[in-house]
Amino acid sequence: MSNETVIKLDNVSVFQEHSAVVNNINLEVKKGEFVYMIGKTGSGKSSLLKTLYGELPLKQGEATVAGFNLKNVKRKEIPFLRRKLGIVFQDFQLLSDRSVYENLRFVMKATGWKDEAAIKKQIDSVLKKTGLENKGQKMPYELSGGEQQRVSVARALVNSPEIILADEPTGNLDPETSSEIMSLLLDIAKSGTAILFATHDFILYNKFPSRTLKFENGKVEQLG
Amino acid sequence: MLNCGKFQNMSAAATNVKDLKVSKLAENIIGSEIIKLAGEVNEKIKQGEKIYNLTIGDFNPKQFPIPAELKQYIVDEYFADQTNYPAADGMLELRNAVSNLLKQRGGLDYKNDEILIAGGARPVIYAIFRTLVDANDTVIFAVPSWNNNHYTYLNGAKPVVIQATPENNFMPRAEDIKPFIKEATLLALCSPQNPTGTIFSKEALEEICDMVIAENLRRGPEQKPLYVMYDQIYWALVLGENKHYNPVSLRPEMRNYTVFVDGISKSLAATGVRVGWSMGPKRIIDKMKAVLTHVGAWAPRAEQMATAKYLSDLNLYDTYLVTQKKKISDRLEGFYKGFMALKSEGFGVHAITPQAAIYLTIQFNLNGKKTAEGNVLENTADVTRYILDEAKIAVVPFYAFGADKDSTWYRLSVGTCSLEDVSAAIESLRAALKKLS
Ligand SMILES: Nc1ncnc2c1ncn2[C@@H]1O[C@H](COP(=O)(O)OP(=O)(O)O)[C@@H](O)[C@H]1O
Ligand SMILES: Cc1ncc(COP(=O)(O)O)c(C=O)c1O
Ligand SMILES: [Mg+2]
Repeated sequence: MSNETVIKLDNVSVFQEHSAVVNNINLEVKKGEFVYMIGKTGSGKSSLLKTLYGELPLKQGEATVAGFNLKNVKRKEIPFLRRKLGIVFQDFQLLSDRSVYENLRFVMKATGWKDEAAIKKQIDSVLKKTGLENKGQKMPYELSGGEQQRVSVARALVNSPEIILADEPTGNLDPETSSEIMSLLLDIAKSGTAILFATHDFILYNKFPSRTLKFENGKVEQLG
Repeated sequence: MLNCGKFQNMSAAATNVKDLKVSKLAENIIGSEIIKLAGEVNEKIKQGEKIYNLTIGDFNPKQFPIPAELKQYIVDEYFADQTNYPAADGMLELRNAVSNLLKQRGGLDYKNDEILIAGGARPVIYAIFRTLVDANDTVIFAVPSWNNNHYTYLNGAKPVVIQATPENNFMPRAEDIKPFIKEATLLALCSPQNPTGTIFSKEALEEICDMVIAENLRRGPEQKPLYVMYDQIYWALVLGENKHYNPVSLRPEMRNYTVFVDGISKSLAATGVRVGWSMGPKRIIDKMKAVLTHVGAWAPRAEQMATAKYLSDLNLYDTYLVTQKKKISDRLEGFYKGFMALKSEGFGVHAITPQAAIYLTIQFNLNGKKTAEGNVLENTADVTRYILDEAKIAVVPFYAFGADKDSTWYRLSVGTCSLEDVSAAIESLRAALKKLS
């Protein structure tokens, strides 16, 4: 594992509207690290993730994410920041009117891919990585919840991101399927992508121990 | 895990979930076209693009909040334990308040037993169809229009679809409707109209009313009359000097044949509060109540009580609407002027003067144009995509409202946009149009 830092936060406070929801976060995440974010509903996990992907503005502190300085990042640069990030949510947010392949292709086109041969090659590669080799032509409604979440992981991988931000990605899945998604994400981390993983799921958390950020009372505590 | 085997069996059966047989009605029901488009737009937004998303027929509460008093009253009513079943026809307080609102501001005289409250306008529309329309009856509506096709389908009725034209602000005319009325049970009209943001003129509506009255005289009392469903959910949002008309005020003889669709969803920007109502002949309102009782599509009791309280002070209502209409009108006028400026610069765009609601009718006449990459825009789908990809503007093509697949007209909604977005979107559009040859 290399020592390259992909996220660095110095004294960052996270704001919703005008009020700070988490204060003075200092954090360094390196390439390939898997980091949990735990804490009660409303403790600010999603808000921090949103700040990292440029959905909420950075109002206080210094933050560098995948080489972007969030303090000076321009609105126009956000799409380029997002291409270095893969984002996975609890609800899969797939386009329900088209196949798995077309879902991935849509995102690639929207992020600047033009060469159809290169697109196909990349889609085949991410489908393989996520264990969906034969599912490219399936419609979302033909897939189980776990498979749909794999598709959204595949979608997050199409631009070979440096970081995956996962906001309760197993929140909709049963324990067994959750473990499978978890193993998939741990494999992805091993191959060099840093992962921030916000969760409520303590069974999962205990089963796959890793570095942890605990959100409580407007603060982040680093465990383990 | 207990009973693991049993659950495994169940999930084996459920792996072919998509093959489970359902009713013919459900099998063939179609979702909203707009929602499909919204998926693509949201995906682009997620990728970090700045998209001017003008597709949504809803209000952004940051731009257009509900009245602060209404918000407070709703909370108060919950604390006052207004948490049980509401009366089946709606809380008397609210029916009285609506009756008064209609009298004071709407020029209509409906007593509290001629008013039915429901969970928004949609259940009202559903109940009207269920109450008036039998399977295989004929329903007349014009396109583009909002969802009439779906309600017709749900009733197993036969649609007669009239193509409204830009020359008439996309409002249907008596002469368009006339050839079909002999067979029809229901004529569905909407003014102010979604998706066009236009309204009936007094004369146009009078002509339609006279035609309906004549047809009903012809039918006589043995036959089911020709009814008019008059959806005026946007009537409080009529802008500038424009005036809202309704069949019953113009022609009192229409009272027996008209059932209104109305509510606070648009007037108070309260689409998620779910308070709507209908006014009509008592017999029909009673039957609609019976239909909705079995669906349970009531407005929540606390929301009803809060709305009643809010509407008891029409000064509050008037003041709120002044600001609300100014904000809507600034945006619509901004877009309209922007489009007309682009038109005068020679670009293939057009717009229809906005009159009401939160919508502007716009046109992209760009078929055959060539993009910077040398691709020719062959059809409406290509044009829609180009406008989204290059101008970063998302609007809804009229085909999503039942118009022809290659209609060049679109709905632009301002309910979720800020005033700054208006000029920025026009600039972005200008830049994209310049790239075409
Ligand atoms: N869109 C929003 N606007 C205003 N406040 C918000 C918004 N989203 C979340 N909050 C507030 O920010 C705080 C942190 O919420 P969130 O980041 O969603 O926590 P978590 O993801 O840990 O459940 C909460 O107090 C919540 O009410
Ligand atoms: C013409 C028209 N009627 C009815 C409705 C539905 O209103 P509600 O949200 O109260 O069900 C809409 C909403 O988009 C509308 O545009
Ligand atoms: Mg959260």
